Amino acid sequence: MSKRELVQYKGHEFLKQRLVLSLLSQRAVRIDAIRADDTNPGLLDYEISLLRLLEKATNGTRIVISPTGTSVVLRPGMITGGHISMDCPVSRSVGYYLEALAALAPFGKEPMVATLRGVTMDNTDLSVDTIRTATLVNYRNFGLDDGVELRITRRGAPPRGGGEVRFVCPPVRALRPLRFVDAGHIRRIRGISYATRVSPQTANRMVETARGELNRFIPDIYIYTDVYRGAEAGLSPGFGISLVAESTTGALMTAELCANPGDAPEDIGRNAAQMLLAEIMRGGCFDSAHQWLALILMILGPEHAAKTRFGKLTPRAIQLLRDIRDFFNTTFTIKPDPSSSTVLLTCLGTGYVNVGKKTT
Amino acid sequence: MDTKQTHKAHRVRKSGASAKKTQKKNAEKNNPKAFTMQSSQRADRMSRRKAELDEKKYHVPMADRTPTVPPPLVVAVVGPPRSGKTTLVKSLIRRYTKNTLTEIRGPVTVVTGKHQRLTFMEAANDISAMTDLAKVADLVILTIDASFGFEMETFEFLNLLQTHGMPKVMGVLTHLDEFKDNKRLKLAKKNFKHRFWSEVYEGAKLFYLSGIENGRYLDREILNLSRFVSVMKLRPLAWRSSHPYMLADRIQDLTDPEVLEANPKANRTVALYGYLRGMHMRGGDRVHIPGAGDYRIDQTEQLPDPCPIPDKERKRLDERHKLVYAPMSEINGVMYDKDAVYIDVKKSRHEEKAEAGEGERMLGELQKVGTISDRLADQQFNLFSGAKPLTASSVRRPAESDYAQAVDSISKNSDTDGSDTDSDSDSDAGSTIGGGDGHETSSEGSTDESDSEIDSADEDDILRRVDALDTNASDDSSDSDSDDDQGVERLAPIHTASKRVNLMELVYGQKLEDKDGLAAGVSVNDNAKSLAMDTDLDEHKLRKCFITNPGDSEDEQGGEDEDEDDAGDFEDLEADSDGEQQPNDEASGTADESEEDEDQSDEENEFGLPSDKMKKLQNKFERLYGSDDEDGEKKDFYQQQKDVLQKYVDDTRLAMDELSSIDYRWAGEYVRVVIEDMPTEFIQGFNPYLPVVVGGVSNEEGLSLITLRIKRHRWYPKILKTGDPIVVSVGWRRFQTIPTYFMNDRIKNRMLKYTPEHMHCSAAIYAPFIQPGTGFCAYHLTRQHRFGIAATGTVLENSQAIDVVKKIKLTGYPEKILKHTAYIKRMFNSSLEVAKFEGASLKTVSGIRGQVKKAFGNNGVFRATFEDRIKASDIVFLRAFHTIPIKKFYNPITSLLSVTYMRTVAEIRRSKDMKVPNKKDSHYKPIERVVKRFNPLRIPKSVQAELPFKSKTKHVKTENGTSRAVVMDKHDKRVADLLGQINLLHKDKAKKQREKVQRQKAEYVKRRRAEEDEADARRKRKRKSFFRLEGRNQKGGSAQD
Repeated sequence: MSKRELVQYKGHEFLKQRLVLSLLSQRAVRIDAIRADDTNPGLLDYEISLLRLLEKATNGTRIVISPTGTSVVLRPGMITGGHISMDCPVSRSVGYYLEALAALAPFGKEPMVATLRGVTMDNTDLSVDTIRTATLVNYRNFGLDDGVELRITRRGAPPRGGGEVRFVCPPVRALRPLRFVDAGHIRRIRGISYATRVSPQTANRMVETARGELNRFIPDIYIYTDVYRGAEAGLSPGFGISLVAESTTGALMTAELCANPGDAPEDIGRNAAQMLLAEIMRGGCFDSAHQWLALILMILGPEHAAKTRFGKLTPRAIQLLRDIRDFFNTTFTIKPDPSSSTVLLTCLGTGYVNVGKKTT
Repeated sequence: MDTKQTHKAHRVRKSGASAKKTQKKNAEKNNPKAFTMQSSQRADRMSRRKAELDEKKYHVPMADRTPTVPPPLVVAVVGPPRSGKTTLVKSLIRRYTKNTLTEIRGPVTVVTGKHQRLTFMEAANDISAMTDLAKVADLVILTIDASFGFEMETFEFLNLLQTHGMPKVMGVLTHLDEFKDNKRLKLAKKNFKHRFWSEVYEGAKLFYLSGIENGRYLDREILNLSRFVSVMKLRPLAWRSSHPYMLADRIQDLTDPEVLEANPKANRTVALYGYLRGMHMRGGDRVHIPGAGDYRIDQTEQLPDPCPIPDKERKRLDERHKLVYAPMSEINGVMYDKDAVYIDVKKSRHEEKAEAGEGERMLGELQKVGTISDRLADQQFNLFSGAKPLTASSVRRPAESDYAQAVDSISKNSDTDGSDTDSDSDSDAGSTIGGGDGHETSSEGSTDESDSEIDSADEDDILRRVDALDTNASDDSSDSDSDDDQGVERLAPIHTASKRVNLMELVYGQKLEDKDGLAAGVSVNDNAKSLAMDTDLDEHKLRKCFITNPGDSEDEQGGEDEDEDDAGDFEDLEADSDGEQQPNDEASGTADESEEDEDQSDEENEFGLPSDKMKKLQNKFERLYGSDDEDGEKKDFYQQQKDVLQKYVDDTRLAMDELSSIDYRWAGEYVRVVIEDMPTEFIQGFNPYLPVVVGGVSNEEGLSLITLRIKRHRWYPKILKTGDPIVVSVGWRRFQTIPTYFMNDRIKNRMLKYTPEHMHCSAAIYAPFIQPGTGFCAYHLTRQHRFGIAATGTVLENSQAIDVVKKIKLTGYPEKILKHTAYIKRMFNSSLEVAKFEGASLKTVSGIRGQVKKAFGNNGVFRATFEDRIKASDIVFLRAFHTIPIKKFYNPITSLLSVTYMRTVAEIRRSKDMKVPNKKDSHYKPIERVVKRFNPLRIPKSVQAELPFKSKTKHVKTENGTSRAVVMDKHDKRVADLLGQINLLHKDKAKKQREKVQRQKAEYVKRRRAEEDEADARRKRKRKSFFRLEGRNQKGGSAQD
């Protein structure tokens, strides 16, 4: 009887997706040479927190970190879900952790109710607004409609954070195969412009310039201003904007920008709008920030063909495709569509069934 | 010839059974009034009943994944030994192909019709083989020896079928020629039929084979049977349509002979041939071979179908298309073996048995060719004349083990897709992308320090739109060639289609390292830079992406003005008309419908036809070509669900071409599957009579604790005990495991020592993941009882921890009793233990409840409070629950290799001839209870005096309690004596009288009985004479008549 071999990687890049794939495919993973040549070798605080979070969200997971912290072995257990709460380090926003949970939560044993505290928006990870208005909405393409919720109880801007979100996701037995190739045309644009511990007028200023940029293309724009006060506003001042464009077929294009110290709200609004336009122009049924989610959920679908269209494959999506092959032994067919300069991806689902979910 | 051919007209039957039948049928038609309903209530009830029956027919819709060219159906012929299985298979094969097989070994595939092929497999009489076959059979033919009756194998097999998805079952009664009496035969058939029905379902088909001719069943009866097989309809079974599987009909050993020579017990490389069923499969997939274990498929290969369905549509099957394929058995003297093809040169039986002559013996010697090493070992030669001849053994072979290792390593390297090399290259690639990323940012010297720090730390999440935007923009303005742009440009082929690059090669190709080294140019830009790029956005292109686009006329049908008015809905329609595809998501479903309606109204105008005529034409079209474009509203929910599933299947069929670049093997193909590292026993002990099933287990590999709902089989004579190992067959697997039975009492899972007799209970086992809802069946490996199936049930849950508890009672004794407080000893051994139980509830034998308070001292004594003062003689209980660890024992039954299995304690005792340990404490003894005597209640006088009258003890004196001595005088004494004497006499007289009466009575009874007897005898005599006379009279009378 041949044993299942360990999946092995080198380097700290793409750590999160590899850990997530390991848990979903139930294959052990070993990652070596994590920042081996760095002045600060080994895992960083947010990566350790991620490992801790994954341990909380699962049962039976064994994680071994070498004394130097430069190699990790994860032997996956079962995804359990349930109530999780964690204080995330402020080096990354909660979007970093939520992305991992978003891929795992539907396949848990119980509904997942995760409370994460930390920075809610920054310029490296998806902000909680985008996750709420786009990432979780994208679930519906896979048959996950009811009960998914992300509530932002407190906002926390970098550097000190102090925000809190509550993520609720019910488990599913199996997903629906994705058949989403028609990107459609952009029908409306929605957005949230938020500000914490700064003048409430800041949010309106961002909205104004963003609208000015987008109004040339479509009149149906509504950008909510969301100003948090007092204890709900976290520990640091900050503001930003998150924009979502929805197409006639339900494709969501997102862009977001968070202010760095010294940025003018007008610039943030305008830049975000232009980033959204660039995203729209790239086309596809999933924007570049959600290609990973689409790929993972496509591969976890039933044993039918799943097909979709991406604008341009991001380096991260390309690496995810390779990692998926390592973990699930499944490859995608990737075909260019010269007429719209997009990419068509087709795969056969692995027929993933949530074995942890109880039947009566 | 020139006259038109006339046929004899059909004459309708005017009498007989068939005429009567038509009369009855037509009665309703001829007199409809007589058959209308009489009561509305009844009609209502009938309609409800009908609705109920209709509802019962519904099954959860399942995707029917049967491929366009389906694989041959597996027909399992099952029955007890000597019930005619082989004869039946031979007869059927003879009927289909005109071939006679001398011996049936392994599966036999035959082309039986224009669209149908069958694979026959005979089940060996072995529970493992029967289990495996039950998992793959599409049709089961149960042979039953009618002269003997039903045997347990039949019932066991039916139970195996039921738990693994019930395929079609047909029964065949054989040995009917042994019934000489026609009446008894009829009765037997009827009884068999009804018994069979109660086991399978009412009306299940049972065939009768009445005799054997030329070693086969009668042709007529076999023809009937084959017709039934050909019209059979199958329902998809959930497990099989979601897993790939293959019934191997040929096995080949591909191991390098040199490796074997070095180590005859080396693991083999084995090729398994067979039709792939159920689902697609791919090299690198994980499979389970029941009886051999889990393996990774090294490679798969499609082979030309050995038994193809005739390509051209023909009226009937041509003789040359009636193929038979049975590589393991011998057809027309040709047999395929593991590593050779044998041709049997016919030899009659007596010849074989005859004593071999000189020449033949020599030939035989010559044929005994060993391996090269054997021959080398036998060889000897002289180096010098007169010296001792050298043999191979005397010469030391240089580093034999080294050689073997070398061969091993070669074979490993030749592995087509060694996963380790793959993953290495990938990871390298990954790191190059990411690493480059980080470097780029830092080298560029981005303006924002805090940003750059984070960027260099994280690469995997460079999903920022910022960078994507940048690459895109650079794409557009590719002529401006800064070094930064250079990098981006090199990456661009990965996503832009305009460049002629194979995307698959770029993403998955082997030459990744170089390519990705180039891709390292991706960078995260700060805002200012992205802003600069934004000005390059192609506004014309961008406008096309919005529904409000006015100038996009070339690829739209028209009606732009309307579009602008009506926002999104029309735009979607146009997207459809682009001819790309159909949107499938529900989100836009409603919008689509409304659009379609509008679409139709548009078309009416276009065709210029009046609407009613249009509708008529549309109806006609729908009638003729099916209603494809029917709206969802018209179909009921059930049909809708079915359609959705069908659509998925159709889409997958369409996508098969697209996926052809990936080496999927589809169901229905004849494939060769190569598996490496197969234990040598698989080849050496290969038995063609046992089925070899290759079942895909992609997502079911990790081990976990599994909760089962289990019920002891009602025919199994014993209940099952927790901790006794049992073989469970679930999914593809058969494995031995140690179950822990338990039952949930709504609060906790209480362990059960034994399964209940007639109820379901739960069981926890340790086994690989299995989908909840899958059926399973449990049995013992060695037959212990006449009926083998011990239990059946379903899988409920997979988890990593199951909390099964067992009650434990701790006892303690009071050491010191205060008012309501007592110090309890001997319950715990240390204060630490007490600390764990602080607050736990206690109870004494007499029912006084209490609570653990705190440890007292270090020796485990603790303070407890009670609701009342307890006694020194009381025993204090603490009722607690202890979690039972589930035994992690998983032992796949390797029946195709060598079987090692765990025995139950009872089995071990039996084999070692050990007695059950006799514990004296466990004996039941009569309970001796000492009657408790209570002292009378004494109330001190002083207290009594204080008591109120009501509560005072009352002393009631009795009058006749005492007897006094009487002293009589002389007269009194004489009187008393006289009276005594008189009394005595009287008593004696009365006694005599009583005896006399009894005697007389007995005499009377005796006399009476004698008289009665005499009277009876007299009466009897009289009756007899009377009837004799009467009889004589009648006889005489009749004689006279």
